[in-house]
Amino acid sequence: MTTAVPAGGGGGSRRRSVIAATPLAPAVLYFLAFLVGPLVVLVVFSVFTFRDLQWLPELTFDNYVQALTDLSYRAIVLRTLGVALAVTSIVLLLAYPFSYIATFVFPRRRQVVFFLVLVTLFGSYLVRIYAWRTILGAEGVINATLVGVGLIGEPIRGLLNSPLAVGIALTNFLVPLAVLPIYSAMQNVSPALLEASRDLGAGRWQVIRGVALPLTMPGVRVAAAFTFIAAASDFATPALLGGAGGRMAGGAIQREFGTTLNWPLGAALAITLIGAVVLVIGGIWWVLGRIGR
Amino acid sequence: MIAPRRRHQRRPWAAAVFMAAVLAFLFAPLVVVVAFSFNSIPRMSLPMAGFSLEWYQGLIDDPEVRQALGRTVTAAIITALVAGPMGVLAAIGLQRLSVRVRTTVMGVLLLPIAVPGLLLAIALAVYWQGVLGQRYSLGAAIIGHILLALPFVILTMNAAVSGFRFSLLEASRDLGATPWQAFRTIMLPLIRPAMIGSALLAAAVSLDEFIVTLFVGGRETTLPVLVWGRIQRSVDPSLNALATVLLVATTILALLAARRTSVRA
Amino acid sequence: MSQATAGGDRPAISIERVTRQFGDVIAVDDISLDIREGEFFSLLGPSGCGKTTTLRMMAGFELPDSGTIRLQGVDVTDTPPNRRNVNLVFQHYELFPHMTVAQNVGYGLRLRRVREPELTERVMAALRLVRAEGLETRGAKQLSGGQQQRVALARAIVNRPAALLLDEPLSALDVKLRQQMQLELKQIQTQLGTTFVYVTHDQEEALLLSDRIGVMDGGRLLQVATPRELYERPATAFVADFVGSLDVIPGRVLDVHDGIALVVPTGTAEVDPPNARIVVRAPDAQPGSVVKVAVRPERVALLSVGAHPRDADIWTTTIPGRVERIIYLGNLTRVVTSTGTGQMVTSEHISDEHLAGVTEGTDIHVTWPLAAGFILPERP
Repeated sequence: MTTAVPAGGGGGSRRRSVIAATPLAPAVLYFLAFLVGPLVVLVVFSVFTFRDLQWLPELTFDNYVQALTDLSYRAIVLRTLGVALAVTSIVLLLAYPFSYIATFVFPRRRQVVFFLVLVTLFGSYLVRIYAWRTILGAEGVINATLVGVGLIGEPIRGLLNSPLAVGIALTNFLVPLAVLPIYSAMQNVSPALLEASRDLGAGRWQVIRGVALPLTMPGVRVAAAFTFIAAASDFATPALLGGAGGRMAGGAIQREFGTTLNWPLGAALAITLIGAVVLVIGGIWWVLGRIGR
Repeated sequence: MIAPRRRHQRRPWAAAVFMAAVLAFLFAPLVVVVAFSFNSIPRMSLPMAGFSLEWYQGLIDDPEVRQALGRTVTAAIITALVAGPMGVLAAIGLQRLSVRVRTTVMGVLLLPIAVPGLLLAIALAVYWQGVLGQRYSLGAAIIGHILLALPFVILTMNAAVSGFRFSLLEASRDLGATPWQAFRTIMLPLIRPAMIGSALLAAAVSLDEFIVTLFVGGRETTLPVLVWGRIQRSVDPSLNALATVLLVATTILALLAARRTSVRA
Repeated sequence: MSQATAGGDRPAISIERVTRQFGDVIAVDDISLDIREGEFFSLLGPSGCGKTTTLRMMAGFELPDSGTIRLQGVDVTDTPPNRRNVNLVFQHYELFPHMTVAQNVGYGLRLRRVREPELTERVMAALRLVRAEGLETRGAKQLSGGQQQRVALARAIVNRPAALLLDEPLSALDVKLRQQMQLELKQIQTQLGTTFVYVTHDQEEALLLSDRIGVMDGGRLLQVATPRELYERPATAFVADFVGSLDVIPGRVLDVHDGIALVVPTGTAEVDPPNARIVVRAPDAQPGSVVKVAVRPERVALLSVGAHPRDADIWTTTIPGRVERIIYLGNLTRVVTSTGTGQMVTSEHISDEHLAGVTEGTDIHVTWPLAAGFILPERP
């Protein structure tokens, strides 16, 4: 790419490149100050001590020990990871065909479709969780309809305040998020490529499995990562829809911060959770890599 | 999959049904909330009794809501005004880098999307009070909003700027323009739609932001935080109205933003 | 690396020992060139030869690593492009998409604070000159390729530059349109009297348009000459091969007399007198040395074995061979003949009259007169 503004002297292209990139500076500085800094601080805090309702800069690994050995927390984390994994799988199973169909089966409508999906993404996160209460509650939309129609005599109680409710709401929220990178990756696959494989004798599924999937796998991986992270760290959804049986890690962390004010422990819990999340994502990526050959 | 028409004429309906079902699933909660906000009795279940605006009236009368609304709007405007230009500059600066450096830097700049909101919120909370010794306030929340909005602005502007032909700037320089004139008369007009779109996007992000605001906003609640507080207490039907307001606002902003940036993935 | 001296007048553009390197690649290698006031000068060469880089250095978009660039005597090597009095017509036109045609054309004038009514007058005059009047209010995005090209030209011309630089402006047009535009460009240049510097890889185009041509390859300037000189007296093997087509026959000098050499094609049987004889002007040739003889295909004639053409004399080159292929191309016929040594010689014939009785497989003599052949200089 030719530089739009030739430098005054005939400098080397590398120097020119760095200088020319200074418009980046404000954003980069902002990030260093308010993203990188705080994250580093959090890590530091995770090895501080909490005593007498105060955090103290005394170094200790107790927080991590507690995070890793506390049985109830471990149970919560495992449940969180389980739910997140299930949600991610379902989200991918919905988002991928959706993007595929939009791009290749209805190519002329795809922009509208993508647009609609984007709109749902921005349509207020909290509100949607709240809406699921309405839909899944004992007197909610689903139960009222089923009872009213006569299919069941009594409303199903287990819909709300359960991991199931959390899973449904998370799926609902995360499908648009997953569609973004997958759809984006699809756009780079030339339809002619798919036609060529059909011409050579591939059946419909083979085309998807052998051509589309490998080519779009980077997008799928990104989608999987984002989805899993979001599902595993969410605390609002389990708080509103999970009830006693649906407590998840995000909520536990939030309690340490919001209620107990035990920052060091909260930080350690958060970091442990992230560690577990990263491990699982690594596994997911490996699996996806194998699928995408 | 663009197969010869004859074979697939009978097929697309299955695909179409699938698409419709997914879209219905995605829109379901939104539709429910909006519908119930007009329900005339305070029950959150079917059948709906009648049409009523009393819940909206209740919102207007509620001072807490009015205050929260004011703060929310303020935050959104400031976020748009700060994240917008910063993001535009960043996108332009990114173009000047070699491809490999660019992808790395982009990766870093997109971190706020990848990092879970909870993590960002607690990190910021600890940093703000623990290290900087500041009180939690709307200002702290706004700093978080800007951080969260920047990646979206940069992504949008990056698409617009990378499609921009820098050779046009050469042409303008050849015709006598200084670098600044070239930028002002040629580049700016051509990326302006995307700039407006991404500012709207930043506002939309700020409007709906709840997690960071909850942690560092202190007593200065915004609408989403207010909703969160009230949700936990009871099934308050006026919440539907509040939720609808929030929903409509963010949706309109998102629609306007997408229009401007003509979102092409 | 030939120089073209300025003659009495100051050259419009003068390039002195200019070099430009990109990393390990030397794009422009120590070039010196003078372009005369008012001439139509072309830089001709294959892709990657450095001609576009040279043009861009004249425009100010590339800075030479060493050397000087002067415009009408003034050293502009360090002057930024917006302050040089030259304008560039870009290969892809680069019309500003958010402006109308009139706004595009008037852009440079507006920057120079030219006011109404002069602004509009000059814009309209430029559009008239390029035969694009009527398009003023059209958006730049709504023009066809040919129209965009004209508007790009108008946008450059309207500023009355000391020289107009054109970077393969016609390469994106289809053949008929291109031919039409070539004629128009030539007319416009003559009418304006402005110095034009034109970059192209199409040798026909260069021959058609230019007063002088500079042939470049691998960053070096190989020859600067008029079209005729270039075609008839190419300075190097590359130039000879690039401008027009060429038959090249390696051979050994048998004898030299009065600056004329008798050359035997390499591989010919040792017989006295030799049955293949090339006669060519070669003032510096030494008996026994190896040379390459070159001739343009259209000057090669075919003779039936045993026939005696009216103009044959001892200075006529004669090589026996057999016709391999006859290719009919409409306006001419190309014949490929293989000589006894396996060498292929291509000849081109406008009318059929000299090809009576010539069919594939016929034994034939390939001949040309003394003036047609020349020794190819060693590659630089």
